[in-house]
Amino acid sequence: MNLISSGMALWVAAFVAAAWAAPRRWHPPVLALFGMAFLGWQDWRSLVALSGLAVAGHLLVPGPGVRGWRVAILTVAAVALLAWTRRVGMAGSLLTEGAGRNLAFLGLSYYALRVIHVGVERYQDRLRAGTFAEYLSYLAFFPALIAGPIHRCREFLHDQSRRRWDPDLCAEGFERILYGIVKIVCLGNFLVSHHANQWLNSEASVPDCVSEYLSLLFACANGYFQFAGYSDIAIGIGNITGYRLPENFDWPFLATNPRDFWQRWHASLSQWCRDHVFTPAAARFRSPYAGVVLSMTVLALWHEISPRYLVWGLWQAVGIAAWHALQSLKPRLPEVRTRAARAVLATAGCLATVNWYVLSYAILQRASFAEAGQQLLTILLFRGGSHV
Amino acid sequence: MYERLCRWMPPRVAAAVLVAWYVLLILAILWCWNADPAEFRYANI
Repeated sequence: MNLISSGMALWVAAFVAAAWAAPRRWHPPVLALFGMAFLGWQDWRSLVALSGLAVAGHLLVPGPGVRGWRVAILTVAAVALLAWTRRVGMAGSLLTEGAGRNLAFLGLSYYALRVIHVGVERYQDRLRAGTFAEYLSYLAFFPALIAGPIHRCREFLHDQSRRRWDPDLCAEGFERILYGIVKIVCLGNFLVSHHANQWLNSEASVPDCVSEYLSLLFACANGYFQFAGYSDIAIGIGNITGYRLPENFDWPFLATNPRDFWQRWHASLSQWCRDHVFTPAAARFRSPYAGVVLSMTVLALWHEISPRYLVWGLWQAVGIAAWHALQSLKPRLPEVRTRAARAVLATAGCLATVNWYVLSYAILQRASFAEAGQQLLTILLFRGGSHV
Repeated sequence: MYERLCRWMPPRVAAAVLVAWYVLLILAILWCWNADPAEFRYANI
């Protein structure tokens, strides 16, 4: 099934109605049931996985004061399940169904990270020990179940206890859903996937370096429109039911450095990696560079466990590390005083950052590293000729 | 968005502009949906 369909619209309407009609004390189990019923409808294996992880998480780490090995076992179990599905290409998403990929373990990529997040937060006494129904309603929150964002449990429980009907928030939600559908249908599918790529494939007079660059740019733009669109829809449904989900995409192509970029692109995943990988790793090794390399490696392998994603993650880590190194050199460089000079620097930083990300798509798009290298050389050396 | 528009124009005009903008977006969605072959209607990321 497609996420943008009449069946899904009916499901969303039923979810919103149930979320507002249920009495306050029945609200968490109703939310949990809706999320789990959706999983059971779409992918029963994912429902089994979610139930197992939820029970394990609640029994192993019910609250603060538990031993560290319990959190370690929970984390290893969630990561092992995620890694197994990634390895055999089963980490499913409705977003990939149209591409003909196997639909299995729907939403696991997101709820596995939420299970780890709650375990660590409870262990560190940063999260109150809630009921199992509250925990399950957080893990299986329907709007964010399929494609994120990876929201935080504390804010979610806060919204759950304090939410009330807010017409402005509801109107904002409908507006976000509309913008999300425009991004997916008009910009992602119609403009980029269909017409831009069709034009590129039919235009024989474009030099090789330009066509190779444009193919990467279109792939990147399509990924942005699709993913940002689904995030908008999730945030919009959340708003209509009285929940404020975190932003996932905040104009990433205006970022002026790689660190800024990752705070704007899939921000909820970046923040998860910052809290649960970067901070502990940087503290353990007493080096921000170690933290950056480890967190970008985890972030990359979350997408897929493969050499190409490993190299892609290291590419991103090199970008952020280079920016960090440049910052340490800044005191020795002459100060930029005028507004015009600052604007020029910001524009140059923005172009460099965006192109660093766009070029990294060569690693993901091509079948081998040799082909990716050839594509990058064609672009960077401005090789001419024309393609057919 | 309505509040932002109200800074630049009277409330009734702002409401009309907003409704027109939403109608335009909905028409664009319907037009693109119908114009696309079926294989492009699914996200591919």
